[in-house]
Amino acid sequence: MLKVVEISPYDVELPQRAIAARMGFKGVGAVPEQFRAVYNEVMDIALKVARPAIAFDNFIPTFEDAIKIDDVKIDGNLANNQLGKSIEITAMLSTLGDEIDDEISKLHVKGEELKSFMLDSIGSELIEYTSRKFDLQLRTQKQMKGSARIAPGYVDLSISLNAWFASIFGRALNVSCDAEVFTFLPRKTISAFIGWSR
Amino acid sequence: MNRKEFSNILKTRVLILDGAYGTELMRMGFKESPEEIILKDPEIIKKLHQEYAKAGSNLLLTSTFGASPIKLSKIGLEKRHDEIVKTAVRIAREASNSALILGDIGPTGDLPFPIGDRTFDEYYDNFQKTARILLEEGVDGVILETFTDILELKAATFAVRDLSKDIFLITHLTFDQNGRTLTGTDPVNFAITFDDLDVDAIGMNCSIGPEEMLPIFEELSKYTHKFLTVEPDAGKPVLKGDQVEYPIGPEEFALHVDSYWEAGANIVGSCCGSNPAHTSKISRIIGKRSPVEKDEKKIFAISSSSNVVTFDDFVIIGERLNPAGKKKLTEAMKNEDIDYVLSIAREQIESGATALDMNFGVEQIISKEFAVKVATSISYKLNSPLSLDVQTPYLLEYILKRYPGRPLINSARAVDEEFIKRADLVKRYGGILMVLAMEEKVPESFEDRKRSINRIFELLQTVDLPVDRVIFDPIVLALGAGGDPKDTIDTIKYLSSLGFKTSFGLSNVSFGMPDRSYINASFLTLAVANGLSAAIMNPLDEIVMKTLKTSLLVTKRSQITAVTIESTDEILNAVLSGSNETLLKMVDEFLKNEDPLNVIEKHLKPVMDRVGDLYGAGKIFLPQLILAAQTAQKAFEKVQSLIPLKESSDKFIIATVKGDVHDIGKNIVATIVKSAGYTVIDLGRDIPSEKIVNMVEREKPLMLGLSAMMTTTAPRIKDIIDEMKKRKINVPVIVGGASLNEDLSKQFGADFYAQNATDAIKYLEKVKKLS
Repeated sequence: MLKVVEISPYDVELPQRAIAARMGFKGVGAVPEQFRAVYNEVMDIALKVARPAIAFDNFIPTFEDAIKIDDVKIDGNLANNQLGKSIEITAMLSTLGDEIDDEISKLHVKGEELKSFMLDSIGSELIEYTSRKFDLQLRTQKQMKGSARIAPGYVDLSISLNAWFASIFGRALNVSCDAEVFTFLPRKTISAFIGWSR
Repeated sequence: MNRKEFSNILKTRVLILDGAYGTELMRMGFKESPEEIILKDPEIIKKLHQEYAKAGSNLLLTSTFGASPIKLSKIGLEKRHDEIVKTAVRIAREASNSALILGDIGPTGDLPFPIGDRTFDEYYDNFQKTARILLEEGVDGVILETFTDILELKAATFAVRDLSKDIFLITHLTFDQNGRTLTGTDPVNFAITFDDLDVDAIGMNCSIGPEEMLPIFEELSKYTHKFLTVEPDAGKPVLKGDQVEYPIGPEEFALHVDSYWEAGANIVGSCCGSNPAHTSKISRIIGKRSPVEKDEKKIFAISSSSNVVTFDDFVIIGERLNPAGKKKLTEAMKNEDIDYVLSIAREQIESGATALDMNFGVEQIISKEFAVKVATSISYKLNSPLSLDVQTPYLLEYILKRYPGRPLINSARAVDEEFIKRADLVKRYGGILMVLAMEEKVPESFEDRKRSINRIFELLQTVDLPVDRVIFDPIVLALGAGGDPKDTIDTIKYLSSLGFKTSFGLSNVSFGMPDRSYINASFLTLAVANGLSAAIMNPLDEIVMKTLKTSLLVTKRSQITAVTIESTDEILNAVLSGSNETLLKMVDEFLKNEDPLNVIEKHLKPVMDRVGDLYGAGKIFLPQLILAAQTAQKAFEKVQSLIPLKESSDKFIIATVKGDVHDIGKNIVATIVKSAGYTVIDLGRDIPSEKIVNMVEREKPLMLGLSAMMTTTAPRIKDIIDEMKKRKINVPVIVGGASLNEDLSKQFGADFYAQNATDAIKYLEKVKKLS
């Protein structure tokens, strides 16, 4: 059964290193002092406008010519390696909602390019760490071995699977997917599978 | 288990290493070292092994980290060395429950000469004693961990490998938060030095927590093709009363585990402050995963213990450490006057040498110990990599084994026996081999050299040494003795066209001639223009050095920082720090005496060029580039508002293609291009192809920029370019975005590919000049 979990952005632990690296401060490990004030300001904006939410469901896979759940094929090497022995597969869609997209655009239009860029970077890490937090909760609850969390578009897992994610979970989270190129709206949205085996 | 079987497991799955023993034993109230506890109360350690195995460790480390003779001598237990090591392996085996056993060897705690007193051979003997017992007791692999110095780690590596070619060997350095070891080695240097050696896995452990270690690990991962291992601490220890506590619990530690897997880790564990609960978390997250396939970067570089010199930039190899014709240096070599030798090395580095050629002259009168002292002193004290111009094979092997980094080996001719011997040494001890484009006889023509080069390719295959481990010397013959420099230049050109690096001994060309500096300088200019990568030369010769600097500049092989742009430093500071007010005040001052166009051309554009160069050279970060562009843009807008419309700047149209909603990269490029004084028409994101083409047709911009982030949206670029061609719109197109690369952009028909945020400006300038 489809479930939706909302997580307060304040509860998502974001490693400073990850944000710094995303912003391009590579090998530094933290946002440098020169940018701390603007970073703190943008982080406050992010925490105000982000609405992290995850919709997920568990499926029993079938294995004929390919791994299948809900009549959708999940094929390729990555899927076979990670989900091939699953007795259950969790599909999850995570989003930060559309307010953060709007805020990024507004800052750009105002000529506040640095803030726009920083908010975009924080958003990207926030959605990743929201998913990781939920991933960790699932692994703690489940009494099974979990595979890697694999996402459409990664290695050879087809990005077209995003259309399926949107069709199943989109309404619950107000997420849509472009039918031709398979990008999500809101932009800070990611999808993933985790396979569970004994 | 042999190394092949071990490697086969790692190709299919990630393995989990256990966690801390020392800090766990301290937490239990023990004050002694694990090696003492092994003797007094081995059951305690066995129980800890069992807990780690139960928590999911596939690999258990023997409690022998501090059990090498030198380390044990510090607590008076050296006589019980064999007993400690044997007992440690036995109890690990008894507790293992099918986990594999890694024999653990830690550093001595003593630094090498010249920063300490230990020699390579003392390290080697010490570690070999421990390794011998570990191997006799049947461990499944050996791990050398927490080493703070690359030479000590190299000694331990050879100590183990010389005993067994069949044991799986892991080597670790420990890095501080600044990304360097105690003696200055960075992860790139570690990767290039140890990739050459016969080890199976490299990695890092201890000193810092998982968050701080990750960027350092990612850097290592980029440059190595070995298996990767990692064991972060449970954070930085904090003193609470008289207790040391590690702040990162299993839950927080677990947050970072995915990132290590994504960065290519094959073996993951934890170090100080961790316990079986950490192991359990790590195992639960990645214990059943297969490893990721990672992209690896190739780097052509040599190194000292703390300095990596890549051949992407021109490498100046100082030639003056050669006693030929130098009476004082010859005496110094004979008398083992290391200070004098170092003074000759230092003056070359201070004059601009980036590496040093080391020739000992008459090698028979030099002691091998002195030769190693010179090599390590230059490496540790002066941070310069060496080109080892050593003729005697035994002496060369002796130095190579004890060299702290990745040296250049100068040199081998395309003569079978000589080549194979030298190549074998390079294969065994690491480094880059300089190969001469000559056989027995001195080459008389370009064709002779080409024949030798072809022979070198055959010999490389014979000895199984990859071609990226050699640099070619095109052979410089003395002009005065009838040598034709054109043959050398043609050879450089030929090798460069094949993508190979080249280096030569510059001074040979002018041997016996007057005006040597001018001849050397002219010849070097020609060679640089044809792609020469490095030269062994005299960095004290100002004429040659200045000519080299300007040759590199005009051939666009060095940064603009080689010359200074007058009166832009204050502006540079203002844009880099984002000081809008300061910059606008400066602009107001300029406008009092200069016309607006002049202010743009003489002040604002040059400063943004410098910002672009600084970004291109990796000296500033992307946010600094954006901040600078954002700041400069306001100044440009102010000045441009004063310029009559007809003189207004050139147009640049930019858009993200239909279906793609990712526009942050496009926005950054638009801002940077605006800051360079162009008029930017930003159409936005998710723009239909027809709208883009219509706009280009109407506005006739200098260039069109298209961005596509997704593999699914990238083909739209081709649609747009095809449509422009159909309508005969002759506007150059530059493309960029995560899903694109140089090849793909060519396939789509684009004129330019933007690898980073500043490339658009570079190509706009190019187009402007041609238009």
